[in-house]
Amino acid sequence: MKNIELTDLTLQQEDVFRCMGYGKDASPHAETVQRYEALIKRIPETGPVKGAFTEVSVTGINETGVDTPHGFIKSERLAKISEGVTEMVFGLITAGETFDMMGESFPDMVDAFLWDSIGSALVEEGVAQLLKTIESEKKKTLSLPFSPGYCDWDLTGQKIIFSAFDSSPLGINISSDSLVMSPVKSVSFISCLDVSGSSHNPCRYCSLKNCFMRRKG
Amino acid sequence: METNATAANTLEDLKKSIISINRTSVQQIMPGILSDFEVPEILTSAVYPALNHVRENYQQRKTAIPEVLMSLNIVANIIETISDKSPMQQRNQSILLGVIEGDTHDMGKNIIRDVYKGYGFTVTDLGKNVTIDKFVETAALSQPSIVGLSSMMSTTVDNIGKAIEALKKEVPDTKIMVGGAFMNPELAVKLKADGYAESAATLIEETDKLLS
Repeated sequence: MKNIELTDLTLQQEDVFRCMGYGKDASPHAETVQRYEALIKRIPETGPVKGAFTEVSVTGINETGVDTPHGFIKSERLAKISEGVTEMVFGLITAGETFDMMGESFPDMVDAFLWDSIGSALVEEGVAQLLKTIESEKKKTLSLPFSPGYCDWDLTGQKIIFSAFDSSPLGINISSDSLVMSPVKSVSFISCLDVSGSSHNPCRYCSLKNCFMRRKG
Repeated sequence: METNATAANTLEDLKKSIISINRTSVQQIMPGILSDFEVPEILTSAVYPALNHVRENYQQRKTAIPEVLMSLNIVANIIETISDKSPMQQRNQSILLGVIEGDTHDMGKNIIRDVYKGYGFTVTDLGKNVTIDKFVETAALSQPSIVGLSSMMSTTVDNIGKAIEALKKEVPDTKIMVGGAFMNPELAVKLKADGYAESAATLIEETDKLLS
């Protein structure tokens, strides 16, 4: 397992706003932009986004999913992009407890909502940066990340990912019953190592064309 | 005739100022509104139509949640000003809200809470990670018109089902509404909820349907 502090994450304002639902027909109000800009300046107060990853061998693949020493990942779509894959990366990213606490301290719901959206964007950017770091270190191509609870992978997949790490990795805990992560602004994911170009993106095999999480490529 | 036209314009101005999040304009308009109109007329001719418009814009993706919340914030200030002048009760219906045990995602529930408040409902917010016992105990004491149960996760759907079963037993006259990322109309029916609201955009219409 390797831990990394992601100190130079940069959020693109338009990306964060797009995730909030703004688009070609909806532009943020001037006050929204002003509040966003003020909140962005407060991110350093929460400390760096932290990431951790560990390499996991693939012990079998069939049409229903992928087997690993930590458990069987039941996902037909993951199986499709995993053809020929022998290794995976299990990863975790968290914006940390201070980030959550600050979000809860805002008396104003607009600020609380914007902070929540910033947190989501921050950990997603953290995942992207961590994958780039691993790719550069391993000199291998990684698939786009795939998380429990998304696509056709059940949320119970959290247990498989967390079993590959020590207890409370990066200070993240999952509840035993609902598998919710704490701090809330945390992401768990897997990614296939050394994939071919055409198998890079699991969204290619998903029929939800309008999914807001859909990724290009 | 001229007076009526001016009056209508003033209420229309208030409505437009709420929609466009023009706090300065609202502050300027309010003293005149308060001296010229009765509270029910202010609410039904300006405040609620403005909120309806904002929610419609949100549903049509012409705006996003921050603008909805800012309009609600303006409305909250208007209602506070109105209440200071003449204490009032906008609706005699009450809502008990909370995120079910096992889930700590409360942003969606908080938005719903503010929308309900904007429309004059009395809201009791139990927060997040609320036990079934707490829902039942509070509902039995306060006999709300609606209990709103929220969950963002697949793993807490069972708890929603158990909460509905327990609430129907203890407070049979209270309607139960569900919402959240993992919820959908079919699941709401399967769980024996009385209603389902996809988002803040349809919340009030679904609520009125349940309470009619």
